[in-house]
Amino acid sequence: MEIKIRNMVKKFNGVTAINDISLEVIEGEMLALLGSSGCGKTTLLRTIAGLIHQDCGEIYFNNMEVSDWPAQKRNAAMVFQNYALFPHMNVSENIAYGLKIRKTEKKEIEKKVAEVLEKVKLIGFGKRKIQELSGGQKQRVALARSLVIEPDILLFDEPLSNLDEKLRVSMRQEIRRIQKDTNITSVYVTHDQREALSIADRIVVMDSGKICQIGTPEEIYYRPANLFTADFMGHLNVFSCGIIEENGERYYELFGKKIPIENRGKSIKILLRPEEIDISKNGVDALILDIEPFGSVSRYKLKCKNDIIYADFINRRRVGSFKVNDYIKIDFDVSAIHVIEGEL
Amino acid sequence: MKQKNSKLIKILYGLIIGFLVYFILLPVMSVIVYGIKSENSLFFSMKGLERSLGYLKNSLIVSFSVTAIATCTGVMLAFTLNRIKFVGRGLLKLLVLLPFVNPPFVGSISYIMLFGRRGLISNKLLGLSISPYGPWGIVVIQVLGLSSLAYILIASSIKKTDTTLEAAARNLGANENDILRSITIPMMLPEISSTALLVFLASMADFSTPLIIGGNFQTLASDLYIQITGLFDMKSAAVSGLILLIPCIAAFVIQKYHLQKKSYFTEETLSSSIEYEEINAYTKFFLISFTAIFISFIFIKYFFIIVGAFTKQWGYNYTLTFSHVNELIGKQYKPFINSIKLAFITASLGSFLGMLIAYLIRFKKLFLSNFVDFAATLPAAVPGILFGIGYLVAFKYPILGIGKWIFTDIKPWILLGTGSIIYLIMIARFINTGLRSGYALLEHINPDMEKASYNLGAGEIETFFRIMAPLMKDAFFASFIRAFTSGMITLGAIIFLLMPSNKVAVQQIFQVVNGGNIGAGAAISLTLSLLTLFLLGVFYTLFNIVEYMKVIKRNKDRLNIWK
Repeated sequence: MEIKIRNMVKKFNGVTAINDISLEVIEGEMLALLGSSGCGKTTLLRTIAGLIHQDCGEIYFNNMEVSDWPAQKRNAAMVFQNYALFPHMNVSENIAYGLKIRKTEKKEIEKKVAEVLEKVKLIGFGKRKIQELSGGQKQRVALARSLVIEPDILLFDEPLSNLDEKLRVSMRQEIRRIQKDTNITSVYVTHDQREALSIADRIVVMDSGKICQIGTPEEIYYRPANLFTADFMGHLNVFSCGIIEENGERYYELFGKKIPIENRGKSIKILLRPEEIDISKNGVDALILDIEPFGSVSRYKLKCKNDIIYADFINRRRVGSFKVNDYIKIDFDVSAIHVIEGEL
Repeated sequence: MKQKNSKLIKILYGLIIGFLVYFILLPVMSVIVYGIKSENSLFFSMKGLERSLGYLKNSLIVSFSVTAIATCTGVMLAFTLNRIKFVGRGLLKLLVLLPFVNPPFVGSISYIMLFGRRGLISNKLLGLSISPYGPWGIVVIQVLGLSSLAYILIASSIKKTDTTLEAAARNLGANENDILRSITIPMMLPEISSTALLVFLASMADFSTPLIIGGNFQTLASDLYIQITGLFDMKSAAVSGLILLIPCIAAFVIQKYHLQKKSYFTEETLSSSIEYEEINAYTKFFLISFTAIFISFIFIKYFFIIVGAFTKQWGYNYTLTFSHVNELIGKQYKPFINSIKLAFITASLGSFLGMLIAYLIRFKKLFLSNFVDFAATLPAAVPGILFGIGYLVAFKYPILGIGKWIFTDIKPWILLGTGSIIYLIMIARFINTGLRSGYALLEHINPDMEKASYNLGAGEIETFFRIMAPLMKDAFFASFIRAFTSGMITLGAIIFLLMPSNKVAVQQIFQVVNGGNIGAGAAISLTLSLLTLFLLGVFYTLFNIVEYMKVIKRNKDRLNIWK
């Protein structure tokens, strides 16, 4: 199922949650809506589900307009942030709910529930009460409940935000696997950039009810279109450089390196990801101001000329010997530079 | 790690246990012992038992009907007033609570004025002279009063509705009817059942309505009253009392130990708005009309009380008069003062004691906490009139009745015939109010807060007054307001313990209405309702002023720091 959204607007008590958004979700893809809280991503998801009705704009499922369809008719199953499992029903009853509503035969229900329990690795949990389940198990039940009705669209509303780090990683792989197996068009809301990068085919970065950028994870990560996206994706090194004209040649200068450019607007920012910086004998001098170890990598806060620059170095033992106030020589490849326009 | 409690706490706790045993368990036990054990008890004689079982049947007929109707009404009111948006909702939300401030007879008085032998509708309008007295009158009056109780209990649970669950069901394809039937109502079922049992208890305990408009149809509670005051037959009364106690305790135990644990609502699933986004126009119209009609009944009740208060003699002489009111202001204001004194003192002490017990049980983890919790909530189960009889029996003689043989010449001490006993029984009843308020509050307070205070060097008492008391203040006020309101209009528990010198206003109404003087009864009822409303207003204002002054002072202090 392909989803098209045209000029969607939604306001809550005068506050604009979605501001004229148009968007397409391609059949079978996993699309992540990424943004900080209050950016309108959950509202957008809920309008697709029909749980919230937009003020203006249209929604199309496979070119059929569904803008005024009630939630019940849309067959767009949602996995809720707090799981939204029915506490007065056990696991099987929760999963069977949608089927019972659809007046499926009892035998058929049993078969389908058993199948989906297997799919989410919860065999033998059917009779359990919801209150007895762990967070990860609840999440699987919620997923199973959505899958069992064979939805045209799957919607995820920050499904992993209540889980601990380790579980989150494994659940996100599992959701990815199941989505690819079933090939159901999916929209996945998250505020966690790493989650979006790892799970999605395409990412929509949102801010204040508007779309900042749409692209593949690689595009969003390496080539953010604007400062907001860059900032959100963890770009720490943002430099404002003036354009230098020498002998009819236009270039930027960063740490003594000349970066030739195409013709661009006036205000330009240069982005350089921390992991693109190397330690090199031929590099420029940098003073280590601070070291923040993360385990496999450490983030170094460096002072290079008059700029502060962050660099991530893999923690092999030879690197571990650096200390604060040491001088190191750093270098970077010009091709790692990404240039954008705009003010910070 | 087991925490150590200081001697002071233990002594205090011991005293509280003593109080609970002496003033709650003992009277209740006395009712049972007296019912079964007294010399040639009627309990085991078929005749006595048969007689009381007849009344039990009446009680159950009334209470089951009332419970069913009032609970359904409460559910509908709660849905309409909390989940549907419409103009005028705020006003209706206030009006539906009016029955909480009116004395238990207001309904009965209006009912007689409208449908009595000389009633406005039955006699004047329809020219009937048939008797309206009987079970259906009782049911109508109780439903009008207790639906408000059901409403307030269910409303507090409906406010915790997790609308995400409804959204999830909608998302899975369920229509609104399916959702109501399979999600919303089942989720509320524990609270609804709990409400039903409390309504049942209140209906079983009501003796005044059957007495005034029951005619030949009397219930166990009203029979108790008649046996004791009219026929001085303590033995029959004791049997009826015992039979009344059994279903009440049963309902209470089910409510307390079974249903409360089943609740599906948790604090973290609070939804920001529980109003329905879209609702079927017919359903909306039906629910709003139903609510409006119900509330207009409450209004009619008050309207006729006002009219009655200024009418010479209802049914005979409809001239406007101020004589009832004048008489009230001139001579009979004393009972009002007694009422206020009683309600104020007992509501304060009962609430304080209840909250203290809640604190000790939840935070101090002392011995016997289940027992203390049970004893402190028991008065909620025992019909007031029966609890009063318990006091009558238990404290007739000093030292648990043993004094009967020892101190033959000594006058009773803190006992029957002294003014303090009605205060004690009311405090015993209001502990429960404070306790529930305290529990509700302490659920939100992390016990580590107290430990943090110890950790910073504060002592136990200092911690209680500096940390816990300010946190508990709002809950105390809520409990006080509830207890005070009920204290102004309670009669059952104290009716046998009152003396002419400390007569309260409700008793005054009861006497004049029983004596057939509807006008005077209406005048006192009206005054009492208005007085209660006025005092509640005063308390709210005072409480808010005190809070306000504190905020101002705090801000000033803050400014002084910067100077």
